[in-house]
Parts: sequence; structure tokens; C-alpha cells
Amino acid sequence: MRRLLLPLLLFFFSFASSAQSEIYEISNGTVRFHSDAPQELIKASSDQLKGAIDIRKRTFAFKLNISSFVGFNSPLQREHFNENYMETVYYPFATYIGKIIEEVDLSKDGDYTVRTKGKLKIHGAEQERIIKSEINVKNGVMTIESDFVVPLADHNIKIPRVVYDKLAPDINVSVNAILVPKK
Amino acid sequence: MRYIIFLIASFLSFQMGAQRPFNKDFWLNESNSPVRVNDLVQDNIGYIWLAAENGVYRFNGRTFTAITDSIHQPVTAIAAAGDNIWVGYANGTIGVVIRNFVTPIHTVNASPRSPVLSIHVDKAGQLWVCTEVGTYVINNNIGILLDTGSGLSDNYNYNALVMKDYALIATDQGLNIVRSMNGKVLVNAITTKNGLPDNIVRILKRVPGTQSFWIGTQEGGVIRLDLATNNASWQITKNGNKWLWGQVNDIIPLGRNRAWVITDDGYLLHVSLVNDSVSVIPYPIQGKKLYKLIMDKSGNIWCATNQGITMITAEYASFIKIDSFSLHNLTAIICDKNDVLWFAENNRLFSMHLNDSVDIPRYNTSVPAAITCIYPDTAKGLWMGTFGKGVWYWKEGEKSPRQITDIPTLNNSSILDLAGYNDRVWVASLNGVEEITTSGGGKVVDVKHHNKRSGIGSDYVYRLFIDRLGHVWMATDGAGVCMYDGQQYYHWDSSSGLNSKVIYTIAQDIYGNMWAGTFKGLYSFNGKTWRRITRRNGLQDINIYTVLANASGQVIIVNQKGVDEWYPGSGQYRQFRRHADLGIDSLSNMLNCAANDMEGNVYVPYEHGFTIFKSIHTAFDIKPEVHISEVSMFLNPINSYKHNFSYNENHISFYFEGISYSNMEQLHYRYMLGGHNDAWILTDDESATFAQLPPGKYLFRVQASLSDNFDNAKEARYSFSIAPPVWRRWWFILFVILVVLAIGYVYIKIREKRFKKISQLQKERMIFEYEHLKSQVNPHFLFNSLNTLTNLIEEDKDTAIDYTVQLSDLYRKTLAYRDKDLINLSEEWEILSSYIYIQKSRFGDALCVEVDIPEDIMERKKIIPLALQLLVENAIKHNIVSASKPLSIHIIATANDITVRNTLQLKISKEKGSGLGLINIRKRYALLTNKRIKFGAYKNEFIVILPLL
Repeated sequence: MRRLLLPLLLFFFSFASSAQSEIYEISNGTVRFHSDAPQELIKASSDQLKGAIDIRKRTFAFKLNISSFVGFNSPLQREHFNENYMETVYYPFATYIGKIIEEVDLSKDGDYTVRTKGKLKIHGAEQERIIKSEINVKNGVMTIESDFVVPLADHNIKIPRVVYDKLAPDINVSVNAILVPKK
Repeated sequence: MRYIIFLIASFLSFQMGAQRPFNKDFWLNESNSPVRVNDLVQDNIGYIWLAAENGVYRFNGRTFTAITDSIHQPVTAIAAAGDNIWVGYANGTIGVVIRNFVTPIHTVNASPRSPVLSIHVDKAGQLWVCTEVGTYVINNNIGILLDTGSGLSDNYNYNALVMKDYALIATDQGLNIVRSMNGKVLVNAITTKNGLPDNIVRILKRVPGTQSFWIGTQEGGVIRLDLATNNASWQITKNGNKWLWGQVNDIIPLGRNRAWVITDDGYLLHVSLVNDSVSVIPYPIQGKKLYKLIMDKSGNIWCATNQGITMITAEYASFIKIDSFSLHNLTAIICDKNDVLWFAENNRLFSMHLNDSVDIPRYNTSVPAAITCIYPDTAKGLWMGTFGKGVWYWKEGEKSPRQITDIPTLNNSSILDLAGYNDRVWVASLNGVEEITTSGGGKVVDVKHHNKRSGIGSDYVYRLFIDRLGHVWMATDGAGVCMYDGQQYYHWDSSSGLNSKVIYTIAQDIYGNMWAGTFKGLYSFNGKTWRRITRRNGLQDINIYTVLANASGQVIIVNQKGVDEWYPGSGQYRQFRRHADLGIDSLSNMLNCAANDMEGNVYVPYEHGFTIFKSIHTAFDIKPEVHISEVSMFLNPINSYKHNFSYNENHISFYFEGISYSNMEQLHYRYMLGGHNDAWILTDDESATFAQLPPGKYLFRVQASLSDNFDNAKEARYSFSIAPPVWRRWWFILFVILVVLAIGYVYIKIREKRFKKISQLQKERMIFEYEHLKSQVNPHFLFNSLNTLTNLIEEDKDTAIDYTVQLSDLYRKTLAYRDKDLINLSEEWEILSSYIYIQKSRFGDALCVEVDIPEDIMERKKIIPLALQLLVENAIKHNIVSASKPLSIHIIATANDITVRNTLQLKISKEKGSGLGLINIRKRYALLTNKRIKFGAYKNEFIVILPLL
């Protein structure tokens, strides 16, 4: 897992790697989602979120292994999620790479509300997104919280007519991550 | 929880007015499946061009024409400049539309590789292509990249506007003012530090003709930026309230203070900026994401959505839906000076403030009979006419209405209409019209009675209309239109053009023209004559119930089938149908059931509320456009627009199409081929073909209209010429004449020459003949011949007879052939043989003639007559012929010539005239042929070679 992420990060921060303290890495990241369909509530979570933020350039990259989602209502639901909707075999990862719009100095302690703008890639389909996040920095530890909506249509995730009532067209996602300076 | 309540409350407070525009969705394909449209533009001609997820489309109001390309990428941006349509793709490709095909342009130096977010074409023709990695300025296929390296605040550029000496670029880190100074790029960034509500500037639009710009941001809403004339300083409007409508995606500025705005959350917003306060009227467009916005020339707002495109009528028509409302009970409607709309459902009176957000009408009071008409007087009192119960008066706050009983004849009468101004109230009943002077509060001070006998000409008046001069116009049943100016009554008879005695409704437009509606047509009065308007002029129906004008010149005509709206500038009617188009499902068939609000907007009831025909802010042109889309010759499209044809290219077809965003189904065309037939031909077809056109100059003209009225209609033209065929061009005719003359000249010359030759020949022949005859009657020859004969008679009588026969033969043949140019060799041989016989008889063995002429040559070949005889004669004449020295002559013929050869033993004394005969022969040959005779002495012989012909 870490091995896969590394080249991506290296690519992204290649010329900033000398100043180590400018890069924060996720030490603990959780992604939850729930779908409020009329007939069925689907929810699951993953604690496998990886990623890093360059606080000087205000750029970031996150990556999540889709098959790491657990906590479905039933094993069958998880199977459907991975095989029918997300097609995990073909599209194993979701990524979000971009920049922070607001000019914030994340080296200083404080609470920040920022808009992140970047390419959200799920199910192989990329979308330009602006996602709001709350960032808290305290004693060199960064906490990020964010809630956003993923419309299935944006990412070519097809819902069969039969299960239309079981899956909402928009999925609510929340992200919690704790980042620490890269050693 | 408290937060949510606050949100809802603030939401409602922004919901000013309950009006909603009509929307109509257009699908790009026949299966009506959604196709995301990313950008829109209207070109010079009037077409709307769409940048869609699956390609470029051209739209004429009715059909979408797919423009093919070889790029196969989502189209993300489109721009029109002059006659060019520029297209940007998701992979960064830029293309230009050439004849229904997108041709990619290749850029050197810097060329875009990431999605094109917008294209702007500046006055110099440079393309400004905004992308996620900067803005490319492309000039003559050479690209320059402007990005953070050049000083921009951010690489993510949404759109650019290029002014005379600066450019504005919207980025994720504020607005950039870009100038070029001595080849260096100078950037001024306007960000939140300068008062921008948000750094993400999503869209930038200029108020035409000004240095004011509307700016839409990601979460800070819209603001206006006013640049000072020196471009160095600026002002930004403040935006105090929190923006609730989501990310702004596009703006149409309607001046400095008014704009239409769309947001990512699916709202169409009418935004007003007055003194730094922003007021927003939101219209949710259900279930769609809205990306781009344009307004066409006819006032429609077009929105590019994630499903296709949506047409929105917000600029000229909208509606108020009232849930509890039923059109069938509605009997009267009026709007007072405070924009309160009063209406009656039978005997119950309701009111609604037009600026209220709540569209639930308030019940006020009721009267004992159905209310037929309402008049709000200047003292805030309401006069209500009823069906069978006279006139009632009510003022807001009063408990219940009271009947006006001052005029006894009205008490149990039905009231047809009410009108008034200042202290006058006019009441139309079934007994004529009462002119009431009131002192307020419904008190009657004075009454003046007008009726059939006093001068109206009828006791029934359906409509009272008081014009700006205070004149009262009456739509009567039986007396046509009657106007009362306070002193006398005016009528118009059929000589003025008004042919109807029954008028249902009458109104005045802002230009002062009167409009009268009847059950068989509409009449318009310009102060002098009435003009009848029917379906031919573009009305849907001629049974007209109500006519009202708005404050911007339009006249709204309610008829049995729907509503027609007259646009005086365009000379066309925009039709609204009951069952089609925009969902106006039904209209009242009550006469004169419509009202004007204070802005002049016209309210007409429909099944579930009111349709509002708005006074418009700018002059829309609803005249349809027409465009010649293709010209073909013998049904084959002409590739480049060719205008000159040859004489056999005479079968030409024109394909044209109307472009109209209102009532496309009403399109009519007329065309004319000037130079062929100067008469307009009306058609509903979209093509015209002309076959077997004679040579000439032509001008094809086609016009489009929404009715049979083509006055000032838009026109498309195509001029061409058919050249006359080659044989009818002046130079060819001249050439032919010259050739004929030349041929004649040459012919004459040749003839002359031939005549000359013939005469020469004749002359020569005559000389020869003369010479010959002379020689034949030469006494010497005769003497010799006769001497020989004498001897023969004595010696041998039989031979003498033979000799005589031969001699006479010789003379006869000589006479027979002498005037011929050529004779057969056999004939010559006959003469010669006679001659030889005679000479042989004389000389005996002293003359030896050997002849070798093959039989076939005898018959086939020709020779000059007497030539051989002459040569033999010459030989005998010039040479010694004696027994001791016999003369031998050889005549040998080959296929081409004949040779006469004799031994050369010349006499000492030369005979006279020697050589003359040979020269004569040569001359005669020269006149007849190129072949020359040859003669001369060779060894011991004299040889003459004559060519055989």
C-alpha cells in the first residue's frame, strides 16, 4: 500500500522534498459514506486513507483503497459494492489531488476553513471539485474534517433500475484525517 | 436546529415575488436522452451553437444540426467572432467550424493540452484560450502561454475579457488585470484583500459599452467591478448578505444594475445591485445543473444544463401559480396603484400584493351578486360592478361593501364595465353610460347620462377605456367605436376602415394607437384610419376577447385560442398557445378580463393563476432570421460559394432555413429570383429550385416571417450569373465574322489566281494552237505531204487512199483536241501515229520511229495535246533525215514520264521558229502541274522527258 503511494507523492512533491517539515503525512485517516436511499441505508467506512499536504505550496494528494471499505449491512452488500458499482478490480483506488484555495499558513496553530480544489477520481472518472474542509493545527498535528457529496452520475457509476430505490443518486462522504510532519 | 430555522427564514426573505418564468427543455437527440451542454453562443446570423459532451451542434430554434469533427472529445467551450465559430475541447484542441465540420487548428510555440474552459476572441482576432494551466493567447497559430510564470495569480483561468489596452482574467486566486508594457506582462491582482468577496472568480462579464464588469464567484455571489477610466483604480460593490445560491456559473448583464445569474445549485437568479445592496429573485430550475447562459435577440434566455438546453421566458413572460385558483370562477381583475392585484371569483373579492413572496390570495369581502368589473379610485376605494345588482363601493378596512343607490336605474342593472380618472367614475350598464363625479368615499356628487340617443349610438358598452388625454373610448354593441372627448361623440364608419359595429374591447398602446377587438378580427387605429388585422397577419384567432398594451409598446391580444403579443419593432406577433409550447393551459373567455400593473405588465388569467406579459427592458427583435444554408447545381452542393456559372450550369437549387426562437412552427418564406421573375413566391418549403435558366444576372432573395406580412422581414441573398454560351459571346461572334471574312477573302484570292492561270493557259494554248495550225498549214508541210501523195497516187492507189485518210485524220484530231488541256496518252498516240505514217510515207527508211508505250499507261495517263507530235515534228524539222543518215526517234513511256529521244544530226540551216514549241510545252506544263519537263542534248542524242499526268 505504502509502496504504491510513494511514487505518486514523490512525483507531486519532488522538488519540495528537501524541506521535510513542509510536508504533512496522514497518520490516521478515515473515510465514511452513507447513501440514504428510500428503501435501504448503505453505509461503510475505511481507515486506509493515505495522503500528504505541502503546507508551503498548499497542495495535497489523497488516495484510498476502495476495497478497504468495511462495515456494510451484510457481506452481500459489500460484494455488490465492490463488484457491481465500484468495480474494484478495474478501479481499485479513489484519489483526490489538488490545491488549497485560501491563503492559510498551516504552520501556525489554529482553526482554518478552506476550500480545496482538485481532481476527484472515483471509478476511473475524474471530476473537478471544490470541497470545503475544516483544518485544525495544534502542536504540529493537523486534523482535517470534511463532508461532501459524490453524485454517482459524475463518476459513471450506473445504478441498475431494479435497485434504484436501494441506492441514492448522491452519496454523502465524510473524511477525518490526522496528519503529522513527514520524518 | 436554530441554524436550520435561520437558514429557512433567510431563504424566504429573499424569495421576492412569486413569479416564475416559463421553461422549455430541448433535447439534442430524438431519444430525449440527456446530453451535457458545456457552453452556448449565438452567432451573427442568429444560430445558437452548443458545445456538448458529444460534439458541436447548431440550433435554429427547431432542429439541432450536428457538426462533425475528427477530435472525438467532449466540447468544453465555444465562441463566435465575425463569421467564425471557435471550439475548444476537453483535450485542449482548438478548432474552427468550416462548412459543418470542425477543423482543428495547429498551434506552434505553446498549444493547450488541458481542458479548454473558455475562448475569447479579441478585436485583433487573437484567441484567448483559458485552461487549467493558464491562458493561451493564439495569434496566427502562434501560441503564448500566460501563467503564474508570467505573473498571473493562479494557473486555473476561467475566462478572459480583452479590452483596448488591458485584459481581465478570472482565476482561482482573484481577478487579474493584465497589461503589456514594452513587451513585458504586468499583472494587477484584485483579491479578497481588495474587497473581492471570494478569490475564486468563476465568471467575468462586461456591461456592454462600459468599464463595468459583473463578477461571479464560487461562494461569494456576484459583485460589480467598476474600473476607472485610467484603469488604475476600481470600485467593487459590497455584498453584505450571505450568498445562499451556490457557486455562480454564468451571468448575463442587463446593464450595470441588473443581471441574470445561474448557479451550480440549479438557480436562475434575477440580481439587482442598487446602492451596494443586492436583491435576488430566485427561480429554481428543477433537477438540473446550470452551466452557461445566453440571451438571444428575441429575449429568450438559454441555459446550458447537464441534460441539454432550456429556454426561459423570464425577460418577457412569466406566471403566478395559485393553488386554490379556478379560472372558471374568475369574473374580474384589476391592479391598483400600490401593485395590489384585485380579482373576483363570482361575488367574492380577493387581493394579492404583487411584490409579496406568498402567492396565496387574501379573501377580502363579498357582494350579493357576481362581480363583473372593478375600479380602484384615487381615494383607495373600490367600485365594483355586479351582475344584476348595480354598483357597490368598498374601502379596505370597512366591514362590508355598500351599494351606490344614487342612480336609481342602476340599482338592479347589470354592469358591463367601470373606468375612471381623478374624480370621475364611468359606469357602463345595459342602459348606456353614467359619468359620475365623486367626492371620495363613494359619494356621488353629479351624474351625467350618456346613451344611444345622446350620441353613443348604442346602449351597450362592453369596454370603457380612458386614454392619456382623458378621452373616453367606448367599445359598443351596435355602434362600433365611440369616443367622447367631454364635449362631443366621435364615430367611425366603414369608410375609415372600421367595418364592425360590434366591438368587444379597446385599448391604447404607448405610441397612441388604438386597438379594438371584435369577434371577427382586430382593428388598429393610427388616428386616421382603422386597419383590420386577421390570421393572415399572424393572429392565431380572430375572435378577440381582450386587448391590453404594456409599457414597452407590446400589445397583448387575448383570443379564443391563446394570446398573441404584438411587437411593433419587429412587425410580428409572438404567439402563446393554450395547449402547446409553454404550458399556458387555458385562458379566460370573459371579455376584458386582464389588468396592467404599475410597471405596465399585463396580467391575463389562466387555469391555475395569472400569466404575466412583461414590459420589456430592451427592444427584442422577434423577427425570424433566414439563412441560405446550401446552394446546389443539378442537385450537387456547390462547395465554395461560387457565383459565376457557365451556360449549361443552369439548374440551381437554394436551401434555406429560418431561425426563430419564437413560434418556429409559424415560419413562412417568400422568395424571388430577380432577373428571372420579379414576383415573390410564398412557400413553406425550405428550398427553391430553378431549372433551365437562360444566361443572365440573377439575385436570389428569400425572406422569412411569422405571418403573411413580410414588411421589413429579414432577408438572405445570393447573387449569381450564368454566362452566355460561347457562341453567344461578343468576342466569339466577332471571331466568327472575321473568320468568314478571311475565308471569303482567301477564296476570292484563290479564284482570282485560278482565273488568271486559266486565262494564261488559254492564252498559251491559243498561241500553241496558232503556232501549230501555222505549222500544219505550213506550205512546206503541205507541199511535202501533197508531193508524197502525188507520188503515191501514181505508184500505189490503195496506199494513197490510206495516206489521204491518215492526213485528214491528223487534221481532224488536231482540230478535235487542240482546245483541251489534257488528253489521254492513247489519243495523243492516235495523232502521233497518223503523223508518223505521213512522215514515214515521205521519208521511207530514212525515218525510223520506235515506240514503246505499255498498254495500261496508254489508257491511264494523260498528256498535253499534240506534245508528242510536236516533239517528233521538231526532230524531223531540225535534223537531217536522209537514207544515208536516217533519223531514228525513240518514244519510251514509263509510269511517270515519257521520253522522246532522237539522234542529233542537226541541219546546217536553222528553220525559223525553232525552240518555240518546246517552250510553249514547258509553259503549259507549268500552268498545270509542278512536274517539270526536262530536255537537252546528251551524247549523240536530243532527249525530251515529259511527265505523264
